[in-house]
Amino acid sequence: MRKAKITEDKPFRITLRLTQTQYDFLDDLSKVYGVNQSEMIRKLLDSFRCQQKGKEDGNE
Amino acid sequence: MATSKNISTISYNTKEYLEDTLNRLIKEKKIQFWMYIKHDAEEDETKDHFHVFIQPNVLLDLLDLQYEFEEVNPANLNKPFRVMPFRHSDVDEWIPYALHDKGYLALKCESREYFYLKSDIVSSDEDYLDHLYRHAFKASKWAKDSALLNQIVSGELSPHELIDKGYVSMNMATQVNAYFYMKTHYGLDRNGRENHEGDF
Repeated sequence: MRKAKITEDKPFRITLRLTQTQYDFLDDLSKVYGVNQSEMIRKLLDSFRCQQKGKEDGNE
Repeated sequence: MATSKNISTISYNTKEYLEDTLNRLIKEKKIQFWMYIKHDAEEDETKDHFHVFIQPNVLLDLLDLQYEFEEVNPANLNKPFRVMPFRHSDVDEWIPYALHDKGYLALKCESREYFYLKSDIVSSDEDYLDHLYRHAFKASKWAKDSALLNQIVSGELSPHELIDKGYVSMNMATQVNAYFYMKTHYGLDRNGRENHEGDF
């Protein structure tokens, strides 16, 4: 992973290599959630991060 | 629809995702204040939910805003946790409803099983919440109406005092009189003869 100073205001760009199956899945999911693929990946990470935090805090 | 007026919704997100998203919207300067409260499902409701109030900072497209809250549901990816469509909201009404305040619900001819405390409301700014709370329960239109109604029901205010103190305008005097007459003569008019209430 590239070393960089990351802030909420200045996110950094990464390149992601996906197979056709993975891309199609991401594309389908993006349509369900009404966002583009890049935002969908962010949403997946945000959702899982928050849900993980909820489990740790006992808010499940 | 785009709006910069106060809005509210009902959320089925996880607490963490909801708070995370609301805080992000403040950082992005899209909204300036948020508060929410968790409600347990009432008899006529199916699941626990959050009531969310938002004070926008810019003109917001409500559908775009709704998509911000789409949260991945690990159990069913095609059925995200989400919020209901946003609606314009009056903070003076949102707060008493969020708490299921008995006095407020009575004015709306409603009742609820569970009641909540001010401390159950989570907000982005406690001081501002205090200010809004005080206004909602003391200076809002419904609070004044409710206080007036209580005074009338308890007999603290006479018909002419309602007019003297400016609660009711002069041209409503005959209606006020009719109301108080109705209150004291609601039984059968037996032309001066006694009714049978005492027989039971």
